[in-house]
Amino acid sequence: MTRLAYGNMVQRALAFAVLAVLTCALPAFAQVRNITGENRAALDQAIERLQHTELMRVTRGRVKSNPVMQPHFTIYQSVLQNRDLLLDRQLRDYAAALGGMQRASEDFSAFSATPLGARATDVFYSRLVSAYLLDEELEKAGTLWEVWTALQISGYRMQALPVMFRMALNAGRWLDSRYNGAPPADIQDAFLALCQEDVAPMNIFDEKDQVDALSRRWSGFFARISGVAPADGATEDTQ
Amino acid sequence: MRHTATALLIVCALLAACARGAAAQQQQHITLTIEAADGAVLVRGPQAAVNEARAAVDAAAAPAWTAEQARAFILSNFAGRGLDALVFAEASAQGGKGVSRVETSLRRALLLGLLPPVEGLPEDAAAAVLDAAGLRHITRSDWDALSGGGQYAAIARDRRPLAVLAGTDPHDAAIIIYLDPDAKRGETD
Repeated sequence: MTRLAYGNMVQRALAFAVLAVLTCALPAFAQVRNITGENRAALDQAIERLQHTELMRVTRGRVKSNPVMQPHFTIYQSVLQNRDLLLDRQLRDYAAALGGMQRASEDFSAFSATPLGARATDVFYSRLVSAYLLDEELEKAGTLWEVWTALQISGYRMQALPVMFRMALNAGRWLDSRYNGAPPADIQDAFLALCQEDVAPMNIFDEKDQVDALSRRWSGFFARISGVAPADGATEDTQ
Repeated sequence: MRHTATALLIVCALLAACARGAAAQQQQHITLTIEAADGAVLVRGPQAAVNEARAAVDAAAAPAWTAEQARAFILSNFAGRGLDALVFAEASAQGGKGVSRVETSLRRALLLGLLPPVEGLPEDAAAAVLDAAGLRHITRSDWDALSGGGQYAAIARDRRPLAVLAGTDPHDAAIIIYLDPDAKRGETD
């Protein structure tokens, strides 16, 4: 047998082995959701569905090469023409939020390793996925403005998540030390309920206000368990 | 003749400067920890007096003494020398090197896990939360009103972390001061 033929045989064997491994791994890959792909499909669908009616509206009922400017016209242009950029920005917000949350988990590793910490972490990672996933909002959207709004809210929600996650982990860390690692069940429930409180900011100022309000609710929670009722609802802001 | 006088003047000025420097060095305040059997005594004052006090305590076999005895010895033997002596109730020697201090905003302190959630709370409620969390606390205005020795005494009182809060707004300044219980004997100035 020549060296060439031997080399071919080895190559075939290797290729077969790789194929075998890939075939075995395929079901596992298939189960992973490609949320970015789902978002892209949902956005394409929404734009396809809405662009004619919306364009007719912004051009006063006529399709013109130089449409009449209307409020939010640039938003319409942006949604129609820059969908790749919008999805890319949303993906970057997701990556930044994921990185920020992982750093927070490491910073509060002692609490994150407790059962309560693990539950809180699960809650926040589910919230991250739900903030990133757009298909429901885009399906409900009746106008391109609503599509734009859904994209904006998703981005700001993801930007706010690492800060809210840190607030929750900080609260959990002090709960843990206060109750020697075993907070009572009702306190745990109240803690997890606050972890699930979501925000839906429309812009950066809104995001700041809502995060501040959430921080005050955490303070109110701690004031109550420390035996001090928050004065006249000062710490119980409504959004 | 004129040159000799100028040279003399320069020499005198240099000598005076050296003497003033030496006096200033002698007056420089330092902090020193002296170990005792049940804890440590923190001595603060002019460098020369502090060093003399340490030598005197060492010569008197201080390790066999309690911290309170060592403190009483220093205060009685060095009265009028400007020494301030504080007893550490727990642990062993603790010098200024064991003090660490984080100065930041209240929001950042919360996000770093240094303080429990107190944002937006009235002063009494914030105090209750900090008490429940086992943190000592003082307002920024009270802290600024303390002398240097008073601040040190506040830090060293019972070795728990001390929070100095300017308020409960997210952007208010917060200082958290820790005493490291494992710190070794050290000198600071």
